[in-house]
Order: sequence, then C-alpha cells, then structure tokens
Amino acid sequence: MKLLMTALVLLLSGCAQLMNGQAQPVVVKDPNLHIMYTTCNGAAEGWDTCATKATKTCTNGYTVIEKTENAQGGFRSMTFQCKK
Amino acid sequence: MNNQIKLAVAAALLAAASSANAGISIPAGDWTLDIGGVVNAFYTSTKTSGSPASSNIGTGLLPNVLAVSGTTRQNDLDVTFVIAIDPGGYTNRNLGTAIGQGAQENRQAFFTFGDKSWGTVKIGKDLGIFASDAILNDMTLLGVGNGAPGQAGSAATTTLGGIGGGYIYADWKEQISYTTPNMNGFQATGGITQAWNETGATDLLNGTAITITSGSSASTGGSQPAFEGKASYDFAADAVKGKVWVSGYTQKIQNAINSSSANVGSPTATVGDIGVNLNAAGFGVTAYYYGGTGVGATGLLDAGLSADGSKRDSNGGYVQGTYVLPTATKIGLAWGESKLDAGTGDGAFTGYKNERWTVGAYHPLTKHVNLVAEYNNDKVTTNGTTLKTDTVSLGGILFF
Repeated sequence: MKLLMTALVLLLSGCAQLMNGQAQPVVVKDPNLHIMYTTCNGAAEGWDTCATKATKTCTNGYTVIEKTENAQGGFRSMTFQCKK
Repeated sequence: MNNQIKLAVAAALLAAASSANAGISIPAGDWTLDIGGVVNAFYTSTKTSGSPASSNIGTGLLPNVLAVSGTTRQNDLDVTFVIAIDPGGYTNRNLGTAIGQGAQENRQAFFTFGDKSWGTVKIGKDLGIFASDAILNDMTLLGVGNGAPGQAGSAATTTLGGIGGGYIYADWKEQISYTTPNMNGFQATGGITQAWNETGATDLLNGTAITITSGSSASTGGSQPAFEGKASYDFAADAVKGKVWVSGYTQKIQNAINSSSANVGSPTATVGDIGVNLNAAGFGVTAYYYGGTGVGATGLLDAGLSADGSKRDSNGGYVQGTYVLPTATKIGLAWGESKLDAGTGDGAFTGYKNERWTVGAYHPLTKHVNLVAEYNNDKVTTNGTTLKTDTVSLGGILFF
C-alpha cells in the first residue's frame, strides 16, 4: 500500500508539472534604466514568447537592445528596455 | 538624444552581462565566459514499408552540445567567440575493436568582432547562411522528425527532423561573413563559405538506401568560394509578431563529372528561398519555399547533377502550424515536401519526392527541460516507387 501511495503521489506530482509548464523568467538587469533580460530557449518557447513577455513586462512598450541566437538551435535571448 | 545615450549606456552595461548562450556565466578578467549546451535523448519506434520495425534510443535532430563562448569589449569593438563539441547519442556497434564508442561532430568554432553602429564580422565555422532560418523555424529542431530508422549501432549523431522533407540542410561551414546592424527589425548577412564538391547520392533519406545514378565533381569550387546571403525583417506589434526572410546560395562546381567519370565542365549551382513566420494569440504559422538547380534535395550539393553531369532542378517547402495550450504545452502540425527532378541526361532516374507529415507536442516541464512527443509520417517516392515510414518518438531535451 505504501508503494502504491508513493507511486500515486509521484504520478500526481508529475501530472501537476504537466498541467503547469514553466516559462522562462524575465530578469531585471538594471532597475534604474529599466533594462530587462529574458530567454525563450527550447521547443516550447520561441521569439514570439520573448516578445510577449516583454510586452507584459513593459506597460508603455519596450525597445529591443539585443537579441542573440545560437545556431546550434534552441538558444534565444532578448535584452530590452521598458519605455517610461 | 537622451534616450539614445541611455540606450548606449544600457548596451555597454549589458555587453558583459549577456553572452551567446546565457548558460553558466563566469567572469574571467576581460572576458565573460559562458558554458552552455544541450542534452537530449528520445525513444523512437519506426516502421518502413517492407522492413521490420525498429526501436532506438538516441539523440534527435540536435546532437548533444557542450559550448563555451565568451564576450568582451576591446578597443571599441564587441568581440565574441564560440567553440563547441557535439557528441551523438548512439553507440557505434560497428567499430569492432572498441566497446561503447559513438560519433561526435564539431559544429562551431568561430569568433566575431564588430559594433552595434556598423555591424559584425564572423570568421570560422558555424551554421551555413542559406536556409538557416528554415531549420531554425522547424518545430522538430528540438525533436526527432525524419531519420530515426537505421540509427541503432551506427555512427550517426542525429536524426533529420524536417531536412529533406521541406528544406535543404544549411549544414556547418567555414565562413567569413558580415552582418548589418539591426535596423528597426531589418538585418542582412552576406559572406563567402567553403566551397564543396558535388556528391553522387546513394542515401537521400532516413537510412533507407536510395541509389540513383548521379554526376559528381572531383573538385570543390576551384578558385572560388561559395557565396551566401540572407535578409530578414522582424516585427513585434502588440497583436502579431513574426519574421520574413529570404536567402540564397551559389557556387561553381569545378570539374563536374558524369556517371562515367568523364569531365563535363564546371556548372554553377544556385538556390534561393523565402519564408515567413507569424504568431498571434498563441497561434503560430510558418510557411517556407525554396527552388534551385544543381543543389540537390537533402544535403547541399548532394545528387544535384544528373547522370550526364547536367544540373537537376529541385524545389520544396513546408507549412507548419502551432498552438500553445493553457498548460504552456506547444502542439504543432507540419507538412513538408522536397522534390528533385530528373535532368536531361537521366535515363533510369525519373524523379524523387519526399513528403512529410509531423504532429508534435512540446512541453516545458521546467524552464530548462522540454518533454517531446512526435508522430512522423514520411513518403519517399523514387522513380515511381514509394516507401512509407511511420515514426513515434518520446523523449526530452535539456538546455542550459
């Protein structure tokens, strides 16, 4: 029974992760200049999610400072500045 | 003006803080070093018509990657480098004398210098310029796609994804290139890349040996390199975000020979493409088309010449739709096709077509781990005979 309960807990725990995927965060690089940094690596995210995160972070819009992409595939990062 | 100064200050502050991969960053004197990479593995079950089913565990379209990169600012120039090793995820059982060995690629070793005001020069080995956006927008890039059969016990490092089923492989090439600054979303790259020889293909797809009689070349480009270029425009309006791009490639094929090894001159292979990616409200659409002559259908300069050494025409493209579910899982459906027409001197070869359907689900289990499930259906028709392959793949990819 303990084994079954453990398996059930693990299964439910796994299901919870499957129902709530984790987005890559926006990091504040310079709070005074409102400089932010985020990544949209991998298969589940793309350049559109980087842009969407920037839009949600900056209520008055944003300016892209730098976008980098590694040609090995899947690595994308964007640095942006929120408009005042 | 104030905003421009603030932007310049911000860019300078960030030069040391962000690097190519943004994995594990290490300040090291003048440099900020970054260790990044990819680890991936997939269980694949595949069945080709007329052959027994096969299951394998190994890497997908990407090999494993361990990359070291660095950035610095010297003499008013941004200087970066990337050097990477790429171990495949398959154990080679054909070596005979060794146990547990596998193959490895070395895809990247380049440095760049430049400035945001005038652009960037790249020198070294990196992804080819032509068709690079085609593969970077392929949803199977971090999955499996085509090419899982025949991997077990081989020296392979990856599967094929959508390569040869909608686009030609950009491949990894020695190059000297220049990229313009980003001008309100517009950016262009032009460069010379290592010229290659034209190969006569015996394997166009999936480890399923397809032998067609082709010309080839004894030399690469003679005194000339290959020339490649691309231009793109990124846009991010509130509702719609996306990218439009074009790219092209041309190379002289020095000393082309026909299937009887007789010299037939030095033709020029040429190809161009166009693509668009649009995203809105969780939906994404990518459409891509290419057309060329002498370039082949899967690998660049692979079976691009007919039996008499004249050029074969090729074209293809793919359409891909994705949607992000409330669970953050991205689901996608893609269709692609690559065609290679018979040339003037082709007798037995009457044409080749590779048509691919892929259904995939990509879930961000954590911010650095994606779980992947795909179903891939592939139909390869050569000289009127069709081979069908179904592949189911389950696995994951970690990037750091």
